[in-house]
Amino acid sequence: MIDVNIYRYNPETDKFPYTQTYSIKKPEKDIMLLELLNLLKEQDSSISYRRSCREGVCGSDGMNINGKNGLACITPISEAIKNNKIELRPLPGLPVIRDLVVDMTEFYAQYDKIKPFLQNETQPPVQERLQSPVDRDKLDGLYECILCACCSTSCPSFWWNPDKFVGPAALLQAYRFIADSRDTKTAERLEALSDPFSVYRCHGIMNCVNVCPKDLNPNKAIGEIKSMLLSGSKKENIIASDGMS
Amino acid sequence: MSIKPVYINLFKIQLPLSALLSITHRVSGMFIFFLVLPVSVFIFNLLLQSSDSFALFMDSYNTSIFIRTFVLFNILVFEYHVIAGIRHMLMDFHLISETLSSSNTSAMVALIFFFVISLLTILALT
Repeated sequence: MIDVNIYRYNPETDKFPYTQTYSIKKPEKDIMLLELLNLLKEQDSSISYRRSCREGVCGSDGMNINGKNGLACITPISEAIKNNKIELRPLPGLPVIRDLVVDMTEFYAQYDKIKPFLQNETQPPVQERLQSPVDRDKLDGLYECILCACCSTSCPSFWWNPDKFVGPAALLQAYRFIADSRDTKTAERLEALSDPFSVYRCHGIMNCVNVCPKDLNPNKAIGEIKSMLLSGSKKENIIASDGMS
Repeated sequence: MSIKPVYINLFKIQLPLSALLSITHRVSGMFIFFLVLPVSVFIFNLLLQSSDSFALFMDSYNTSIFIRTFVLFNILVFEYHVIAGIRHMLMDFHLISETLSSSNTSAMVALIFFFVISLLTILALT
């Protein structure tokens, strides 16, 4: 048997959140945590969590697993069990709607702020805007983000200033467009991030890198943005890296 | 609509070693600003005022274990802040590569460096 401690909160009945322990027979196969949650939901249908693709692509089931943010659907229970126990809590720092479901409005507001789309006012060619393989390589390690919010909600700077600090997830996307050879609004994008809070609240503690389920490195992207803000260095000088941690 | 709870429990959330270094760097910075700096200026002023006040301070420094420990503690906090700060600056200049492993290694090196320096300081002052 394993004990699964789940953070419970139902706004209609509970004044305060509490932890509920479920005991379940340890499955013979090393199933994913999401499957275990599905089994528990058969026991108690009131347990709430988000899930969709069940293969680490949609980023819906981000949660705090034994103190470390991750996706339940790609975390095997063998990795999650500590002392015959698994602790599941919602993503830290965001308002809890119910159980493991958090309100991601602030997170998406920051994503919206960095204008996550290609901006180029020049006349588009007949077919498409082309990019050299070298320029395309610069986007590796940036475009793969699935916006699961594991990184931003593990960042103390984001906990204290979710309205002012853009957070690792959105900054990684900001750099994805700053580094894109087809985007012409580099100066405007950097200008929008030049205040004391948007980027500079990052103190490089690396928890974003520590938890990212896609093994991306937002901290490196933030470092590059800081350098570009300070030196005014040009997009052409960006060197491609695989961006992975 | 009621206020939604927010889950933040620093005792339950895992943070890497570099986070610990960054948080304590901030705390030591506050400590230096509000305590070490004013006390140092006060002591410095006392030492320079007259030969009598110099003798008075040195006398109480040599006799009181409390003052000696207090001065030593202030020095250690300052040393810690400087060492952790240098690591932060090296990271900002991209001189330490921005990967999780090198961040943890550099945090460890900074801590070891601090322990060596503090040991030397304690030996020098006692």
